[in-house]
Amino acid sequence: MSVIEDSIQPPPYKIVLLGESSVGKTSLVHRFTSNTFDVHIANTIGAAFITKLYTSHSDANRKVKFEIWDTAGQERYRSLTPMYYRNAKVALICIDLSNFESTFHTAKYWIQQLELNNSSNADDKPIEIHLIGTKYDLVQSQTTPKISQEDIETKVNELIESHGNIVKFHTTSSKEGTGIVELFEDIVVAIDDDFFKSYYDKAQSETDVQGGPIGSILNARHAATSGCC
Amino acid sequence: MNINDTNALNYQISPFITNLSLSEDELISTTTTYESNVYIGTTKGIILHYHHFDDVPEYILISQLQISEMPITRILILPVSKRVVVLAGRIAQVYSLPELSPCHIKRMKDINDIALLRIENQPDSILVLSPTKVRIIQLHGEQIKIVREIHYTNAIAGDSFNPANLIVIADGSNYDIIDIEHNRKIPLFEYRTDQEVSPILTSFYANDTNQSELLLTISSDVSTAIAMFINGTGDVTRGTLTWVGEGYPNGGVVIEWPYALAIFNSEEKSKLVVSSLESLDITIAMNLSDFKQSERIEKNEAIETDKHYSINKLDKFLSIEDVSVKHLLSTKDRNGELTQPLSRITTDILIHNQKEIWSIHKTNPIIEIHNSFMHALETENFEEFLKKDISHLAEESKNYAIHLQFLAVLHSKMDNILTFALKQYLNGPIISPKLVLHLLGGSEYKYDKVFVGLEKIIEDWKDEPDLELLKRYITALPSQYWTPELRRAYYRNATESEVLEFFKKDSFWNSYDDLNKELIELFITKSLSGAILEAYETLFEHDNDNRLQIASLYANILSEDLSRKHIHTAIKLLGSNTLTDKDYGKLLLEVIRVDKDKGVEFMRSKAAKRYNDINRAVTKELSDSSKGFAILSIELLESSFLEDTENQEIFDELLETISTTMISSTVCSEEAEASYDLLLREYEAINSLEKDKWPKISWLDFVSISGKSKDSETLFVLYLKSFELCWVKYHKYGKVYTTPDHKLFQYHQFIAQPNIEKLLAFHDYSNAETVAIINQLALPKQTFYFPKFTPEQKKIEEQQVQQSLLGIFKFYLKLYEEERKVEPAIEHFVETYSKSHISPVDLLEIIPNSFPLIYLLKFLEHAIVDLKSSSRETNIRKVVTKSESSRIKKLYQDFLTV
Repeated sequence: MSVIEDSIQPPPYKIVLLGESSVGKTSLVHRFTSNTFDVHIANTIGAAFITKLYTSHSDANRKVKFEIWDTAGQERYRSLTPMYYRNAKVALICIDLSNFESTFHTAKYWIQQLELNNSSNADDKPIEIHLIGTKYDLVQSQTTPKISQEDIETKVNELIESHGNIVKFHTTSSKEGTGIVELFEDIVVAIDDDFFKSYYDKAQSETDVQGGPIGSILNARHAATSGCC
Repeated sequence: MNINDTNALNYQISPFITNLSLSEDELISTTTTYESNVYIGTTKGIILHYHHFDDVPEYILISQLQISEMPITRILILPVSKRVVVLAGRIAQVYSLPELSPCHIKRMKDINDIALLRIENQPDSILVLSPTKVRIIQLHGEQIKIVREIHYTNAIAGDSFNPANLIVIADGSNYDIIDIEHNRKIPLFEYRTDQEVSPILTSFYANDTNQSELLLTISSDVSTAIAMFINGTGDVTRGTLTWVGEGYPNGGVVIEWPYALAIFNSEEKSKLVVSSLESLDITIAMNLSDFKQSERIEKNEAIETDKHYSINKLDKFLSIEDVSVKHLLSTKDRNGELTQPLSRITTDILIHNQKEIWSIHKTNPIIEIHNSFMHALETENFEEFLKKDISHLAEESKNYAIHLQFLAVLHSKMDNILTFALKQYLNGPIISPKLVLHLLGGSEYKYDKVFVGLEKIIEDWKDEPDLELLKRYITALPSQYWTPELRRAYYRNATESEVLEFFKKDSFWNSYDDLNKELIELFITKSLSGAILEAYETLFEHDNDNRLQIASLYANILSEDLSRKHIHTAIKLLGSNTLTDKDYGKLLLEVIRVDKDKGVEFMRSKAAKRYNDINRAVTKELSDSSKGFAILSIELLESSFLEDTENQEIFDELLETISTTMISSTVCSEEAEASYDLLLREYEAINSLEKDKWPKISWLDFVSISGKSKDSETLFVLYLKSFELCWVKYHKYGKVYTTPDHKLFQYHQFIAQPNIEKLLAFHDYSNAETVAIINQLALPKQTFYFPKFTPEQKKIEEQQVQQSLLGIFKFYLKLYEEERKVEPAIEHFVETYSKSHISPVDLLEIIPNSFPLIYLLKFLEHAIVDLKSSSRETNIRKVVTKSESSRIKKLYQDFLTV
């Protein structure tokens, strides 16, 4: 990364978390943004917005500012959710591995909704979906799980095969902090090089202009003239 | 804005969002709205995002976004581009609507204020005020485009006309007009003297001059402020608005034509001052407080508050819950549970202090209507109230108003009470039938739900119940809305004819439930027998689950007081095959009592087989007094018996019944006895031994044939039946039936004791001869019950037969000797029995010599032929025997010689 690029804010990258209530969306975000975990976390009301600068462990040039919309899973707020995933690059659809059946059902609902509303994205690129299996620690502690790991994998794989925009299935535990950094690392690594290039090219051209952002604006204008009054 | 009196406006201040999630030291700094969203900026740099969901009345917090560390001073909505510019800490940032995602547009720094300009064909133009420049910018994608830039020092506030050819800017002390087309600045005036105040520029559309105007505030001194009005050409449009002694409107000024609403905050209090733009006078001055409920904008006493209030006008109307009518339109049920009204209103004026937000909106017309009603109630004059037009009201308000109208006409005892009481909406009656019942029927009837605004009025209602009106109301009300209380009330207060008429509409008589049981009890208490029967009949028809129980009750009621009118009903019930034996019998007896013919006809043709025993018992009970029942009883018994002829119990009962019936006065009347005697005489005559017709008819066959032609046919049929049964009883079961001691049973004695002499005396010669041969009577040719039964024949010694026959013969001869003309009888006897039982010689020996041979010719001829034949046979036998003897003898000799 160049010196100039160092002085430029990393590109924003919008992510939305979707899924049934209490699947652990907020815990996942907290573990990622502040590396904390609280068992007694309150239900999210409407939606919460969090940003996080993140640099890829494998490639320091891949640095983004994650803009994360953590949506409420409760039915009451479903009608609002489209306004949060609009223009998002990635949707993290969460499934509670310790309560697989019902949360998987809701996950399928959100996949359908995203497919229906993809056209609203500004760049017309379909939103990438990552399926997130949460609470893996609970599954490991269950002596008689309701559904076997094999069955979970089978169902998830079937879902992935039938929906082209599902990128990957990740197994995570916010409590133990496993799989979460890997998830976001995967997201950053998968971003097109063109995304970074176009962003920095544009920012560079603006920075080159004397006077900073406002100066850039002033230079770009044509119609405005300086008043004398 | 209408003023209804000098101290109040038809406007309300209503709580809007008063439970904000603010930290203790966090205050509201600005508010704005977009569609169903409300954005509240705070001094902590947070925007609270509230949203209205269609299914709940209030706005709900859906996100809290930390925008800045500095207070949010402006949230500027760009509705066309669906963006919002947030100014905090002099930095403006752009977000997307409605969720407030960051837009990747450069932040604008060092900004004093921003405002939306209304430039034709250039929507969402923003006026950006900075310490050195005034700019007009637009957002194009992720770029900011500067449309105009004007050097201007320390612009701190600005607004424009619509359309915005001119803008007005305020710096630290002055207002200036800026001609954006020509980049000219026209100084207006100073807005302050020594006091530090913020300039206020409020654009509005003046309805009287039909143009866009701008209100500009000026602080005259510490206690007085004024407002100037200019139009888009910079001309003054109206006189000066003066707020003497109120201070400066530091909480803002908005225009709600034709009034200006200004808020004055001082250290002691906050005040809303409403001034007329037409008269330029102050109309209302109202002190502000933390209103917990909707308050009318009206003059009030000073209230101290340290809160700072602000007022702002929205670009678009916002739909909000109308809390101003909660105290009227909420409904309360018997448990005290409140249901909030759905009523919503629109508002475009918000007012907030540091912690709470209210709305200012027009007073819901239902409040005025309610007040008008209360006034009318006080003055006992509803004329003006009833003239009020309620057609424009929203549904809930209209329903409330109809309740008021109903109360008004009810209290005034007008003719059209039911018109109001019965008004309906999609979901049924507008006024709850239970409430009408309470008002018309009395307080003993409880209503279940009522508008809160009516609760006290109804509780205090003193009018006397009007039961006749109540009945008319219930009758007119569609039956699906009849509550149990309504039905109870109607039946309780109705006459029997009204009850019976009501039954035609009352479809709730379809189940024998607790209420219907209670109503029947009520009918019983009121002795409404017709209603009771109608109730049971209807229930019997419709409630299949409880049919048997109802049938029993129904039958009992019918049995208790059956009239000819209900015969058909009773017979229908009897034929339903649902009654117990006891109920059936009881009801049947009553039916017979009331209409014997119908009862008998029913038993004959429609009664179910399972009731045969009952039918028999009934008819038996009645048969003593009626031949018809006696016969019917026998018929019913026969019906049972013929199904099971081996049943000795029924056999005996049948025999007993027939025997008893035979000698009963109803069957064996004097006429019948005379017929019997006549028949005996006829039999004697027709069977006379002097007649040469043989064989003689037996008594039973004679009865069978001749009895039919007699008036007392019933008796003779029973006679024959009884005989057959006695005969079978004796010969089949070996039992002797003890007949009643009556002459009718004289002949029956011969069954067990076949006495030839007595038979001869009875003139039944045929059966006398039969008895002589087989020692038992013969049945008549026609039988009723046992056509195929043949008794076992007992072996009788021939000698006994001969003696019996000779006894009969001697009887005939005796008559002959008594000079009776019984020669044909003797002729018959010798011709009949000389071959089989008695030798001709024996007969000839006892026939008197004087007996004319003419009657013996055939007998003798046969006897001689028989003798000759016998002699010839004897001779042949002798010859053959002799010849055989000779042959054997010869054969023996031959054998000896061999």
